[in-house]
Amino acid sequence: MAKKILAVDDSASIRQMVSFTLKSAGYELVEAVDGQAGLAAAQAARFDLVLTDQNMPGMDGLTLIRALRKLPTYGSTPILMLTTESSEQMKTMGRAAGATGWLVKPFDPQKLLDVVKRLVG
Amino acid sequence: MSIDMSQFHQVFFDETDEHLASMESLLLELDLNAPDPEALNAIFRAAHSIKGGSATFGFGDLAALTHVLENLLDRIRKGTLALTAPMVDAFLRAKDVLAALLAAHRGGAPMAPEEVDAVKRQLDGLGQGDEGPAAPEPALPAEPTTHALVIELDPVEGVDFPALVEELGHHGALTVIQEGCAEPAQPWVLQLVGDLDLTEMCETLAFALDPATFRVSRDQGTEESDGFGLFLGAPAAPNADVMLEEEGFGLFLPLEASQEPIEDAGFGLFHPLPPNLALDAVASPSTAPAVVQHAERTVQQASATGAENSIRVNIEKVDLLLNLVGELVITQSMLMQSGSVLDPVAHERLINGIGQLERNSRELQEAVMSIRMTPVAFVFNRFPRVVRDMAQKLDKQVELKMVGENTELDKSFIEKLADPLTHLVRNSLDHGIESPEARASKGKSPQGQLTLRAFHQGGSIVIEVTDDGAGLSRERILAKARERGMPVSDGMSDTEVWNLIFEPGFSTAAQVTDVSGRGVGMDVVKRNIQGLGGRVEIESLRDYGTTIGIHLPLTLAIMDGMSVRIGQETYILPLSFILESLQPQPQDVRTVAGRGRVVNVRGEYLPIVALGALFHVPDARGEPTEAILIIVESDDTRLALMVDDLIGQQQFVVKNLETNYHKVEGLSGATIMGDGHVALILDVTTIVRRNQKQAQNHAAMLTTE
Repeated sequence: MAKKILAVDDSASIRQMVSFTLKSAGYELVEAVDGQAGLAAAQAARFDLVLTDQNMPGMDGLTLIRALRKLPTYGSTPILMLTTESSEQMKTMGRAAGATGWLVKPFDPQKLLDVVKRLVG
Repeated sequence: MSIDMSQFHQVFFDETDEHLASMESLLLELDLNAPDPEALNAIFRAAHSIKGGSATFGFGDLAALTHVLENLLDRIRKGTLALTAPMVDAFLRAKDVLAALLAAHRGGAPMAPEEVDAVKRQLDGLGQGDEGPAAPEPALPAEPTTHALVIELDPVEGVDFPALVEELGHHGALTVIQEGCAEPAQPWVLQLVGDLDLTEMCETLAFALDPATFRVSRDQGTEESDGFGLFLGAPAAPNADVMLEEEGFGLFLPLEASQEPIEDAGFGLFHPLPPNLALDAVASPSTAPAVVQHAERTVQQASATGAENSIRVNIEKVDLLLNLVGELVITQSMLMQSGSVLDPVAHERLINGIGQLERNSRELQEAVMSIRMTPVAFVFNRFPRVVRDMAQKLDKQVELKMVGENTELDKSFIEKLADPLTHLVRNSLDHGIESPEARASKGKSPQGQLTLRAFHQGGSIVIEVTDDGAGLSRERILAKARERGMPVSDGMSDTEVWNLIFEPGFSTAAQVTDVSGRGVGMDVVKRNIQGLGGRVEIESLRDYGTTIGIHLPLTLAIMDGMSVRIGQETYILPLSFILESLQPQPQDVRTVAGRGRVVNVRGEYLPIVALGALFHVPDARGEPTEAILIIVESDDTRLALMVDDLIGQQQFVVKNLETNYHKVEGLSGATIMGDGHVALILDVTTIVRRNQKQAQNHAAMLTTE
């Protein structure tokens, strides 16, 4: 069965790009426009991987990751931050919040696909 | 797999437009003394999103400028840089440049690189001087006997976190990554390289804190590659005992990993890798955005979370739909006409069906129209910026009020309203509202008021530009008109005097400023509005201000009208102009020397215009008492139009005469009737004006004699 991925980003163009890239590779995609919507979507269904932007109105990525990690069903689900910030500070905060890893924006679609393949096969 | 990134460009352009617009309106609303932190965050996010998107989709120029902008905004929202008025100016300028760059990428005129550089330099200059606090130094690589931990502490009331943090600092090299904050809720994030291991740290913290409020994890380094990284030790790092680092990418190892903590954040692999985790799987040369065109075009899908309930549709499709509905209305009225001669008893079902079809097509037409309806806010939104910039240039204080921005207008109006409205606003600011000193001397508040208002009035939409300035000067307008040799008299009503400013080339401004009064005059404004089927009205009172109202029909394409017969021909009168119709008694019709016939309607004498004579229709009736008079009103002037018969009232699909034939004075368009014949639509405004002009010429002739 196709692996299910949740993509959380407030930018429609990035969502479209991520979605298109991963769907073309056979994954099943659900999009959410901010942390709040992402959390709701994550609670409504089980995902094999969560991709989240950091900077979003309402609930940001780190807060979403913390909230997801508190859910019993997302204790060990890989969560990848898609972020334009790649400072040590951001990385440490991502780690502390419970992220599995990060991918720096801008990224090439191929790169995203490689990373996703590594995380969920 | 190669992916054509250009397929996402349109969505990126649209969303960047939205970000730029919201950035501008937020900037304009900012209170310099007490900027709203939420607004600052939103401005930052807008810049941030543009940067992220433009970098992703390969628009380096946009990304480079937003990067500078974003850095400044970030420092301002974090409070390390104070917001100043020049900054807001520079940000607005940067927004303009970004919009121009975006337009260039969309296929518009290319942007002069000097302007981009100038803005960048300006922004750079603003950021210099007081640098914000330096980013915390990353923790030093630890000694083998130490443990690297990452600690997250939720802010809890009653706990002295600074003291706790200081206490933790005794155990090793402590870095505060983020200071906690109760509102908005934000945990403390600490990085500690010291003598305590994970268990000892948890025990230590448990003395002071509820275990539910803190989290400790081992900082086991990351694996990182170009632009991607996994945190080793994190939950869900696949095959947890692996560490791999590439630039920009990393994985954490899980907490329960039994091996020695890996505390070096450098690059390396510490355990045999399962094949699917091999570094080269990620570091493989990535394919550049490809040239291959994918057949599949993705349409932005409503996301599963239901956050987006709208779709973007090309305006041409909507226009096509509207055209088809127009054709349907014609077919329906054709059926209606054919049905009207049938025996209603024998054909009851057919006639009911035609009635049903009429209702359905009317509803369908309204529904399609509503698709094109756009809030007037789309035009109004540009004015906070226009007013701000102009008031600054003119050294005037102006407060802009906007009322009824949600009033909806046909999209084609929205686009064509921008220029006339801008002209009116500029006029009000330049010639209407006085300087603060002049206002004070008149006992007015030094701050002028400019109000943009949109509302429905009957079948039309009214948009008003109101200022509380000096008002129009009757004397100056009359003097100017005489100077230009126009036929004027002191006995003219105010409305007639105000209407003089719509004459071509008319300007009473003592001097032409670079803000307004150059090139385009009020005559162009009036022509533009008339081109939309609307009219312009002026009200003005000395020292109380001026209101200019634009009256527009709800829509252009389909209108309610009265069909009338003149001789053997059929003409259509737009219903909105008609006041009443009557058959005059012989004693009510008089002939006035030089002005032709007039009719007495309840004590008021109205000029009669014989449409048959005006359009040279053969066999048209010549005697008002044998014909029908339709009283119409335009520009506050009434007139009796003489026709042979009234045929009936119905909806007409307006076809443009100019594009299909050429402009004919007195006619605004044509329509196809139910029986397939073409009928011409009367342009009441022009007929009324023509009549007024004749009367004026006649009056002028009399005075000169």
